[in-house]
Amino acid sequence: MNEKIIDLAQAKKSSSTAYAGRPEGEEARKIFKLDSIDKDKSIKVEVVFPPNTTSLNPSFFLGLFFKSYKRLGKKRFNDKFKFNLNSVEVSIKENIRKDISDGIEECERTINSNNSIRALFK
Amino acid sequence: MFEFSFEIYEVSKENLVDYLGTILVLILFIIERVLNGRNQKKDSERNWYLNVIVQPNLEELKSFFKNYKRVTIESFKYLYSFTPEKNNKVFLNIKSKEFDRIKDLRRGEIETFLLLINSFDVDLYSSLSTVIRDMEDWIIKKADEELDIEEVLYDFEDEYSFIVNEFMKHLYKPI
Repeated sequence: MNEKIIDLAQAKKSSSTAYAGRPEGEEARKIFKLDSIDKDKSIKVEVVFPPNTTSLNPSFFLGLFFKSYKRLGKKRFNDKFKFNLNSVEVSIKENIRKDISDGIEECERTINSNNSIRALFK
Repeated sequence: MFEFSFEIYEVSKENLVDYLGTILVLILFIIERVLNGRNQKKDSERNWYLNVIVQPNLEELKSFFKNYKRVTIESFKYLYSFTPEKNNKVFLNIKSKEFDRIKDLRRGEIETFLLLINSFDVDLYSSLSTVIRDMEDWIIKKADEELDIEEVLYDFEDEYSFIVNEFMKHLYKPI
């Protein structure tokens, strides 16, 4: 089993502390070559947050991980990607966990939507 | 056998115009019934969307945007009041707390409303939630940078109006 570390510090300007914007997330996805990582079942990924992180917006999460989540599904995504918040300030960790959870929920909603109410009018 | 066929031919020839006319009326009647049925379905869907989804939530949506604006301006002013050593641990903590305060507004009533939209129209949900996420991104990016507060607040007024208009435009699209 191969382990790959993704250092999110590479995906932002040094002065910024927040990860925001879907295009920025998609750009980071290219930097980290997640399309090819997704295809290699033997790779486990550790996503490392830099110490000065204050926010991970759902838009950035979607840009970075939506394709992987869609391709792998919830279980395999959770098995493959682990989020390492060890360097983040203790008091900020909980906020980032909430942000990750928001991002995952958004992926779920987008994938599992079914227009159920509208179907009643058909 | 030949005579019988000839008789039919004769009858058909004489009444051809009448037959065609009757068939045409019948076709028009069927088309009209099908279109009417479709229009009725569309009308009832539109009415349902307006009466059950949009109107009962309109006041809450207005209050959400008003509150969002108030909290954002408060946060901008608070965060921009810190000048020295913006990247120290205390400031990072304050920043994250303020960002989370803004995100909590999105996690509240608007999310419940968007979930309702999601069960009605996935594409509409996607458009509306993108508008909300864009607003959150804009605010957090501006709050994270070191800019001139007056300029940020001035730009926010424009951005806020644009976002609210976009949201309402998408919301009323199915009607």
